Amino acid sequence: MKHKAFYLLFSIGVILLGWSSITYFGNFTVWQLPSPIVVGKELWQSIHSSSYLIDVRATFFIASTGFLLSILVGVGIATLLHFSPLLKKLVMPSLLLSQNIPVIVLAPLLVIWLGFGVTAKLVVVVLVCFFPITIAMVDAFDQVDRNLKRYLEMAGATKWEKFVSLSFPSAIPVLFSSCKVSATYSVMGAVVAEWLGTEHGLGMIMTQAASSFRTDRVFVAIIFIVLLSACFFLLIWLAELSWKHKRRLR
Amino acid sequence: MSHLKLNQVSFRYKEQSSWLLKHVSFEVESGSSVSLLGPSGSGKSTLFYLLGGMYTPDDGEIMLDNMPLSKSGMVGYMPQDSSLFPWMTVKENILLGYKLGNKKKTFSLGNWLDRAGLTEIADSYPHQLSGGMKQRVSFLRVLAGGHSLICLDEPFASLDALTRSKMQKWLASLMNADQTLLLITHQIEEAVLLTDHIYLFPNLLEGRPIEIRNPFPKMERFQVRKTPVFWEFVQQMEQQLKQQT
Repeated sequence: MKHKAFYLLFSIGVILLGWSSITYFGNFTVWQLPSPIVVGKELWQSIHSSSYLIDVRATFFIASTGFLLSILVGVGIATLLHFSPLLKKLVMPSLLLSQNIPVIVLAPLLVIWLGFGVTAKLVVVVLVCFFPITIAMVDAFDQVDRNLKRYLEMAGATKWEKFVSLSFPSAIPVLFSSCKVSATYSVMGAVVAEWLGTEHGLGMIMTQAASSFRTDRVFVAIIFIVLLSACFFLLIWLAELSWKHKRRLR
Repeated sequence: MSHLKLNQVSFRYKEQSSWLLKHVSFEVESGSSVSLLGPSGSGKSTLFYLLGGMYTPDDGEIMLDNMPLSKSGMVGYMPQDSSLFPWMTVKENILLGYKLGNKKKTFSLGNWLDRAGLTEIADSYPHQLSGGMKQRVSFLRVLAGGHSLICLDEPFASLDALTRSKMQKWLASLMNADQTLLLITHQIEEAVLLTDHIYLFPNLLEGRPIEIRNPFPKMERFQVRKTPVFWEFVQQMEQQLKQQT
């Protein structure tokens, strides 16, 4: 753990050093590429500003709620497809195709249909996040231990009993892995949704800062996005650890 | 009580052209115990899958208590490996056997755990158990199902000689008189210790087996195990098996 922290700090240090060198020797203006010190000062001010906290909280709300909904939708769709092979054949190709449409293209349509409220933003986050969970869970539900499956079949278990006793529990590690991927997407999804129009949020800050050439503020928003994503990842990692500990699998 | 009758049962897997079971016929009386002996790959485990309802015979019929065995879940099955669910505790694994079983009989978990000497590990997970313990839990899960016909597929094959010996004694002590037992084993000694009849299939499972009656009464088998008479009988059986195969 100590080694990991060291490597993380070391790589951050290298990035900051490289960044400082580029701004120092590169002859950039502040609005083109601010130095880490300028960004640091802006970050310090933002931390002490109550309005910034409101924006972070707004993005956190959209990302976390959207992410939790994505888990429900992702696992729900995967369960439906597991129980209906016909539905799986019908839905999977269109589901895969739908992922080729960038969400940023769909987002304006969602605003037209659902308005500027929370619903459209949540839908954007869900659209970004549910897919990795669904795909991973559909595969995981099928990849079960053959011997355990045979035991349940010989014992006369119903399809639901097989799902509850075998398919779902054996897919839990996969659920955690896919959630880690989706969690990082969720903050990105929330920011994209906020670009379309909102009163508060990191996406709004980024849009405003970019249009007024406050690149330092854009960097601060990026730092908050990274921190939020890291927090989400950490929470899922802790949940996974607690699940493993409960089952003494560590 | 379960009376099992196989009448001219034939079966082959879809992807195979040759028959794995060919006109197999034998009976197992209610309350009796039978060992199935035969070479590896002769189709003994497949026969259990048929009894468990995983597959249906291509020809012939399997009758349980004079009724065709038409669905899965009618017999208790213990696989070669313990096949315990890793995310369930010992208690939960055994209770799963009860939930999936016929629930005709009441099942007192505490009482059975006590009888099986598993009370202390009731809340443990399978990966925390030894091979012998896992097999005990697996067997208790079968008993929890309350089936009167129990099929054990080489239950102690993966255990060392000492643990196997203990487990054989343990299993014999837990079997009820009204339960019918069908055992697949490669150990002639095990067959003689645990079952009343030995059905010998020299090659593939085909036709009627050679039926050998165990001369030792159930209650005395573990005592006579140390006597020359017991080992003479085992050796005779081994020679017979060699001659036939």
